[in-house]
Amino acid sequence: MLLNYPELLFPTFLLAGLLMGWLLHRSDFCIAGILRDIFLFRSFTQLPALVLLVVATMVLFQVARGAAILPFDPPPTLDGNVSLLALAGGLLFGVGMVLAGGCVVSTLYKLGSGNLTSLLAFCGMLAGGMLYAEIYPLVVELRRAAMLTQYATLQQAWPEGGPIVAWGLIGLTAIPLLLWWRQGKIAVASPAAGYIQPWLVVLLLAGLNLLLYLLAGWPLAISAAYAKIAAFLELLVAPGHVAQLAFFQQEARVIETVHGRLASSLGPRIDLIFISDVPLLVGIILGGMASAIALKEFRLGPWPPLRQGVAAFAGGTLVLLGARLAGGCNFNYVLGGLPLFSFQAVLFTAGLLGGAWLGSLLLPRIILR
Amino acid sequence: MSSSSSPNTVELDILGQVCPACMLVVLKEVNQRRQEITSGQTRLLIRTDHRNATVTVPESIRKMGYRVDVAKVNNYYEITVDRR
Repeated sequence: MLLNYPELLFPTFLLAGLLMGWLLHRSDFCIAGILRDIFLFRSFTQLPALVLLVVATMVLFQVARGAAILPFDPPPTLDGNVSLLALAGGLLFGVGMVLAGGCVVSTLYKLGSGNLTSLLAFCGMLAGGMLYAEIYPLVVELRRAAMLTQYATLQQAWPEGGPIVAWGLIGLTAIPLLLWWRQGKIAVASPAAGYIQPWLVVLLLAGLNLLLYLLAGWPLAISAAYAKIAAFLELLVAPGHVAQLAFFQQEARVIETVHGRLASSLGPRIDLIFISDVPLLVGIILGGMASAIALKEFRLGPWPPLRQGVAAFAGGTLVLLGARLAGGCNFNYVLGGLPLFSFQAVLFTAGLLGGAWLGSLLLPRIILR
Repeated sequence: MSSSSSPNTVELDILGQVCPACMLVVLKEVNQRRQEITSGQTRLLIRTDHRNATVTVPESIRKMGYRVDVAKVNNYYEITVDRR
């Protein structure tokens, strides 16, 4: 486990980010876009790829658990505090990602390619992290009141039946995948240069997700990096205020290693989250940039029209507010939580779909006025 | 022998814009110029640097019954919308 060699965490996550940024840029794979386009344009072009990603990850995680190389206990990024705030957070996240034109990951590789709308969305996400820190004491009370169960996953709640349900769901989901494959809907026809098929990218992403889970102890997660970067930025201008904010002081991720208990926070400290989530974030930006440069498609700017720019910033703010409210983002829950049958992930995803629908109603009214 | 005149090219620059905003802008323009494009009077030339738009825009516009071509030009893409 990499945590036994913490000096390897930073380069490993940076490399993972570089690979993700490159592959995602080449395939234009964007979870936000896939869910949004269902409601906004009745388009399902990349939905098969998203379903394949979730199912492939489920298979890999279940096989790894069966082989006892992954624990049955949920990772530290999927805590046991299942609450309705996951639903509310997913809803906010869904609205935000439509307005922002991307989620916490797709914004990064688009930013890396020089897109300034995505830069505005990224800045909005950092602002969302700062805003969440201000309202955190209220959220703690709300979370306590909205708690549903202490069981984080189906297999925790039902150890005997969990694997049966898991494999049953995998089998059921294979049916639409096979149908899509027979109808030729798995592949996407794209004239973009250097295009890599989304189905191939998602299979690689599922493998990378498993690898990171095995090496670090948790599957892909990134929204904590935004909160940490926001904390460092806020420290530059208001250090006294940052020291008073409980959100930046509390323990966020705790891991047991051979070196003892490793705790990290979302505050401005060099700790576990700083040497894992942050290089992953930076790597995705750089990977997208490298891919764009290699294709001679890197362009800085231009700035979007004012309404689109404001929507992107506001959307970014909602994305991070939603992610912290829910305790994770779409990558953490859809790619990590759903494959592990996390109740929090189910609630978040339901909220995400509702938010995508709502955002799809709002955006045309903002952009086209 | 008569020859048909070439359509006027109307340029739509959506460089820097990302989906779904860029798609909404394109659809609005296409709908506003529907009669001009279907009559062959106008060709719409869209400039975009958003890679995903080279998939989503043609997909939607073709469903509306137009002919769509995509070409890479320097560091962006040109999407041409004509009558079928």
